[in-house]
Amino acid sequence: MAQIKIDHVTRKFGKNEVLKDISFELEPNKIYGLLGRNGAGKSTLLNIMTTRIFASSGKVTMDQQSVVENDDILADMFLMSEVDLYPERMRVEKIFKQAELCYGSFDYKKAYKLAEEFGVKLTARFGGLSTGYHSIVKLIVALCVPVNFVFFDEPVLGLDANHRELFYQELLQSYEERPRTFVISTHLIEEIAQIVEHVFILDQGKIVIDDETQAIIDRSYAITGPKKAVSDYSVGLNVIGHQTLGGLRTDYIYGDLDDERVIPDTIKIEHVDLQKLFVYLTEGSVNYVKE
Amino acid sequence: MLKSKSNRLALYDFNRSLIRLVWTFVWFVGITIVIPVLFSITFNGSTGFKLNSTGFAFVAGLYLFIDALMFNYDNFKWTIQNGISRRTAWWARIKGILLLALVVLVIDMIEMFVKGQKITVHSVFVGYQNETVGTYLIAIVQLYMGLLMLALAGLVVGCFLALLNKRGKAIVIIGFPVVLIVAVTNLARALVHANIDWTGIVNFSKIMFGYSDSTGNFNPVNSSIVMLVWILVCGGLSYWFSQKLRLRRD
Amino acid sequence: MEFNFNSTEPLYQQVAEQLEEAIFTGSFTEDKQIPSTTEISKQFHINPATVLKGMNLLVAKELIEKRRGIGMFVKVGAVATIEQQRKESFYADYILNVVTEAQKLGLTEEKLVQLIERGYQNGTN
Repeated sequence: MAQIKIDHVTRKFGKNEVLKDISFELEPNKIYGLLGRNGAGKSTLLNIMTTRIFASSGKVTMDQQSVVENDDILADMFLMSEVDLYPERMRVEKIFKQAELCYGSFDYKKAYKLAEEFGVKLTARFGGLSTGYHSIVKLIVALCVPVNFVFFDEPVLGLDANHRELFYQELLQSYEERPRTFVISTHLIEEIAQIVEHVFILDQGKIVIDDETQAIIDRSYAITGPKKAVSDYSVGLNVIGHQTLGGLRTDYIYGDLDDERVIPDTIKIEHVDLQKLFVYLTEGSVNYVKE
Repeated sequence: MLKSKSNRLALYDFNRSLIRLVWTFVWFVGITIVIPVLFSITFNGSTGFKLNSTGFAFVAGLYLFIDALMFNYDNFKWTIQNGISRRTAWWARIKGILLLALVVLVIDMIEMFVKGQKITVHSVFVGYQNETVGTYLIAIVQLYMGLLMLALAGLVVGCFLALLNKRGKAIVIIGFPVVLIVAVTNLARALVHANIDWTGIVNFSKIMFGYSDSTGNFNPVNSSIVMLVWILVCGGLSYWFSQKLRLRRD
Repeated sequence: MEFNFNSTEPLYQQVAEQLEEAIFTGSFTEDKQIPSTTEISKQFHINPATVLKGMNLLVAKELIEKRRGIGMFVKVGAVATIEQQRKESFYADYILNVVTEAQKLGLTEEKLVQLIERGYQNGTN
């Protein structure tokens, strides 16, 4: 099965280095999360992977072949981007037709079903729809084109809670029906934390985490207890942030704990969820809660 | 795979261009025929309609240029969204243009036929004007190539403009004519004052058009080659520009 | 079913536990099919691979079995198995914890036994 490899990709806009030496791989039939703060370079990365823009250096390959100007590879990927690339005046049904024309086939049955569920009129002109419905139309196309790699850049932008719920359900349904690789790039980490099997965290143009979701959570800890005891325990560990509440302190740690160390009775060790871990990893900021 | 895909796209492009061409004609007919006719009926009581005053061929030729010039970035947007490489999109566009130019050629010929003009009017090949099938054929081929020159010139400009953002486009569209006018006036002024030996340029032109001093005839092969070179250069340039297309943030 | 995503327990284990609880309480009856991975995955927004991993834990514990081409079924005798397993782990899971906590609080063995007796008397069932 095909695999996509991102190999030392760097992208500069003028002097600004948006992506710094990015390397990772996408395996077949896996759901990935691509997380990063605004401006971390997520969209730039996805745009390079689908050759909408070019890398300053490095390359993206599928089975050792460069994606650049490769019709077969491009026809195996779909990027549902934040920006709208469809003509304003085009009708929704025409957008489906265009996708069929270019990709060679299109799951109309599913598309019509989804359009009905989300309440999209097929005869509506794309430009006349709201942001939320722009997202929905693009999501429908993304789930109905015959590709093995689907990339979502902010898929639920402008969607209300009900439609978001529906999207996640349809995504998982579609994945079960036809397993393929999904990459979901989003700010709403909590909503996808249990869906994604593997997570990439992009911070300031660098991949800071590339691991299985469960493994990441297994390696992230919150150590809570009296200030002194916590500080003593976490010396030399990879502390990514901390919180204090009066004499109580929590250190957030990403990485292995020292098994040799004795855990004092007064401190409590818990795992941290993905969202919290993300916040501390990408902010590096310290929150002091005063009494 | 590549081939069938670019063919499908070419037909899609062609269909859309054709629809736009029909609309262009509707407007053209409305503005140049219907309104004047209505006016003359109102004021003179007669139609005063003259077929010879219409210029479908001219409009179609102009349309060919404009159609190739416009929509290049829009095309790029939806083709890249749908996983089409720049090369395939470009190749489909070229094929679409070849088809559209053929349609325009047919329109040209129909108009000439209706107006009772001889096709050889377009041809200046003295000595080839004996109205054989060959001369007709050469004239038609040259007309087709002329249309392609027009369309591909439009494509080169269009592909170049597609690389620019809104500001860059504004600068080029406003700046280029200004620069051109200044350059031409200065050049003309310089030429008037300078004493230039024109024979070299004249001789070069003669070769380009295949003019023979001895017979006073034009050889169509020479001009055909010149046209072909133009078409190939424009095709190459448009390919080169289209390879550089990328998604802009505007 | 409800999943506590902030729990220190891996998600697939939570899936297994919730399913086991549902079998034990009779929500899923013996010899009947349990919801498919797709259904659970869709409803709770959990990666199907995680759900499957959870189910495989139950297969290993011999609580459910795969029937080719149909799906997962609760094994006959599963409830009894769960009861047996829970009884076995009752000492380690509960008694040891109670004793440790009692010792921290300085409660004597006698006092603890008294408390347990009180619990039985006040117990709703």
